[in-house]
Amino acid sequence: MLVTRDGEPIQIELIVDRLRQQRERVLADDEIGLVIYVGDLTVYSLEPTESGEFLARHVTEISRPRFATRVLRKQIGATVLSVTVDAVFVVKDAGALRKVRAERLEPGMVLASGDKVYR
Amino acid sequence: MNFKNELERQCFEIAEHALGANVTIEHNKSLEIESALFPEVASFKGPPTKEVDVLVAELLSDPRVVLLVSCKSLARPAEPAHIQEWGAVVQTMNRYSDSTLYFGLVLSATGFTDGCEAWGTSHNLGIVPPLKGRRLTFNEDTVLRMFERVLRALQVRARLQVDDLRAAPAFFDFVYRLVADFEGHQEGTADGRYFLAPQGWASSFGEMYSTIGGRKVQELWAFDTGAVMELSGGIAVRFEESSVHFGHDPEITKGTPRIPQCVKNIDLEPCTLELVKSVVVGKSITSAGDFGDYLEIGLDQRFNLGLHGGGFHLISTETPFEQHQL
Repeated sequence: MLVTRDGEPIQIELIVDRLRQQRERVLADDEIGLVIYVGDLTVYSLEPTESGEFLARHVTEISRPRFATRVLRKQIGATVLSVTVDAVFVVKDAGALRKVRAERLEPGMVLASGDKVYR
Repeated sequence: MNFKNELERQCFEIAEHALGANVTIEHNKSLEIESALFPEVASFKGPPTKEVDVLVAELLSDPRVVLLVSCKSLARPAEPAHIQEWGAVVQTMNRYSDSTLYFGLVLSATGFTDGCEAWGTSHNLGIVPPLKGRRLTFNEDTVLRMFERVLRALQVRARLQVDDLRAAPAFFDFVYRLVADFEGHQEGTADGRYFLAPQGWASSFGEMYSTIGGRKVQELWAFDTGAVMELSGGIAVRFEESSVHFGHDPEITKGTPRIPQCVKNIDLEPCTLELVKSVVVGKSITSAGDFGDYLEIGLDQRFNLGLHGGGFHLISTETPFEQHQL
């Protein structure tokens, strides 16, 4: 989800259509999809954290792939998240930490934050 | 210009095509730092040297931004040692640079082993093709298309803003975002059935429906190449049994006309093209299904129009069927 600095939701279709006309911003527009530079604009994405809160990250590019990456639904703690298959989580493993991609996140694993993976 | 292998030649030609003349290939190149005035490299023999094979691509001249590419044509996937070596090269060039900003990228036609991602991240190097969660094999043509995409995007990005890519892992992430979507593209186009016109890009059923859904049928033709449907907004669809072409391209509606085989109702009774057109023209597409040897389009949630290689079928979907015969 994209928002302004004030937290107002941004209509992604509208902003993409408008910025697509500014060719100097277009990093790629081909059979794979569209990538537009927005680093000079105050565009933020709200990304869910394991604790269920949202973290605002400054967005430098908006990408519109023609073939979207697969999305998984995961329940971590009390929160159900939509994540792409290659989203990375840090889990506790025998006293150490290791990175696991969302598609390999198994029920019973415990994240570094202490939250348990339920499904 | 001499090339060590075919991959290197292709990479050079792609870089030259994408970026212009500011691309060179160097073999056994002694790494020369821009400033030898730093205490740690000053010696009676001059600064230390290292020999590398490198594709040098100047992305921007003022301020100077240069991409150093290592092209790996290996029998096996590249290993962390290859990434570490290139990381050291790029780090050295940046550390002893006067003003030039260097970015590094490693391209391996056979991909990378698992440990490479961590080194690419920490050294802020782009790696092509990307390492994904699943074992994916990209063919060499796809890897080269990724390379071209990265070069073109990077040149545009360098003109806009490039300082934010200096700190690890920003450049690694930038390259990853540009090439990661090839995975979905490779999966979505695996059957080679749908093609977006006029570009001729491989496409998918989903993209076809998002292009034609909601549009009104304006005309139907039967050509020697297949059944063609013209829609509002200048969009057209051509069904050829083994492939479906769609998009905003007048070429789709061109061909040698032939007399179509048209049938109607569940019993598939013969009918004329004029009858089919009299029902479907002006109606909106509300659904679609690909049945392999024909494409069926739902219209106004009342009719199903089938496009076959040799003609059309038309069925009313209203019930009871007996009372809604065409």
